[in-house]
Amino acid sequence: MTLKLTQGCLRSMKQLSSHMIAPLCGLVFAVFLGLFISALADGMNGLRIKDGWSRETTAGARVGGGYLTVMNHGQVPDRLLAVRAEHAGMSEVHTMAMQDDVMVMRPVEEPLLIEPGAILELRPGGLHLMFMQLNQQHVAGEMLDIVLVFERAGELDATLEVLSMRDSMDRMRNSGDHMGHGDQASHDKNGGANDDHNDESHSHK
Amino acid sequence: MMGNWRRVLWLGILAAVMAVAIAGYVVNRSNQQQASTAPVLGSAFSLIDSDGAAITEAAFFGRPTVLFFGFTQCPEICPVSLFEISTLMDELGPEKRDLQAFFISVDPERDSPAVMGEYIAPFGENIRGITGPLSAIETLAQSWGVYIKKVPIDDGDYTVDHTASVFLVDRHGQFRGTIAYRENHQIALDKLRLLASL
Ligand SMILES: [Cu+2]
Repeated sequence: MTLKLTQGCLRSMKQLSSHMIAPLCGLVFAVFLGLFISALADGMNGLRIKDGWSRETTAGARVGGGYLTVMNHGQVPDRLLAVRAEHAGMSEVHTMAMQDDVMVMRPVEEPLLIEPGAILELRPGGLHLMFMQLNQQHVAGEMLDIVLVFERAGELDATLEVLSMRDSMDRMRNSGDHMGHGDQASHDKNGGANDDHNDESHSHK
Repeated sequence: MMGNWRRVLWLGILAAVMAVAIAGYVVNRSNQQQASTAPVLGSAFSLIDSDGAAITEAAFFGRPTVLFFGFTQCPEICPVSLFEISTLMDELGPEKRDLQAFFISVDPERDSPAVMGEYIAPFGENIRGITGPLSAIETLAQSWGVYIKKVPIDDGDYTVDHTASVFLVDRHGQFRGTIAYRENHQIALDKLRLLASL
């Protein structure tokens, strides 16, 4: 379709060879190209997964945590339904919070919603991927292949870089985790704002 | 005859009242004495360390001690806290003196001495694990004001909500303060340095 339009454009440019129509055709072409690319992106459901990492585990550990960021560049909301990992017998999305110095960790009650333009961050001190019944140690420097299952986007592959304890501490300090921000749900914001805002956008709705 | 009996009865009652009063005074006095000393947290216990050896509260006396309650199936708080304690102790260098640390399991049903030993090994020689029968662990935790609650999650699995503060105990067995989770590193270092010097 784009090709036909281009040909039509070129033909009309030849026929008319007008100084006015040529840039107009270029403009129309550019608009169609833009629509085509965004349609392609929507075909990928507009979700981008990045910054995946995990903490190395010791030999005796049966569980490991994982963190990543999901950005919704699409036009429709999506929800993270599940996580799968071959290196663990059971994988879940968890929340964690400190309540009066007591660590409270739970599986999320509802799939996490990611509105268009929103950024879902799983990071230390809060939401995390929880790998249980590990059948393989998380070794620093290695990559963990996982699958995230979304309501609309379906199954998306992701990788988590396993960081050493020391590197993970630096990562925690630099990423400005949820600690000290009080109740996590209270500063959750629903997405819908522009793409560049860096605020947490996960919602438990 | 009647008068004599009555006199004996009255004397008996008087003696009983005096005995209660004296006992009350003594108990009260000893309570006051206890209250006037610095707080001593923690009950006596008989548990197992991560080497499989018997361990009692005697291990907390004679050396400045860091106590942390946690479990091995904890993805963030426990490994991060253990790593922090181990890093701080390394950073103290010679100022560490005979400072020691214990990681007490709040999930002893899954944390056998062997599991704990393997789990804490990478955090260095300074940290030892403590586990044992659940009821004994619960009593010990309660005596430190540590909250423990087993919470079922999916698939028959469970997690344990637990107090994540690190307790600082001086070499006389007296509680000196805590280090909170993710406390400022320099402040935590200063606290440990002070504890080791006491
Ligand atoms: Cu978890």
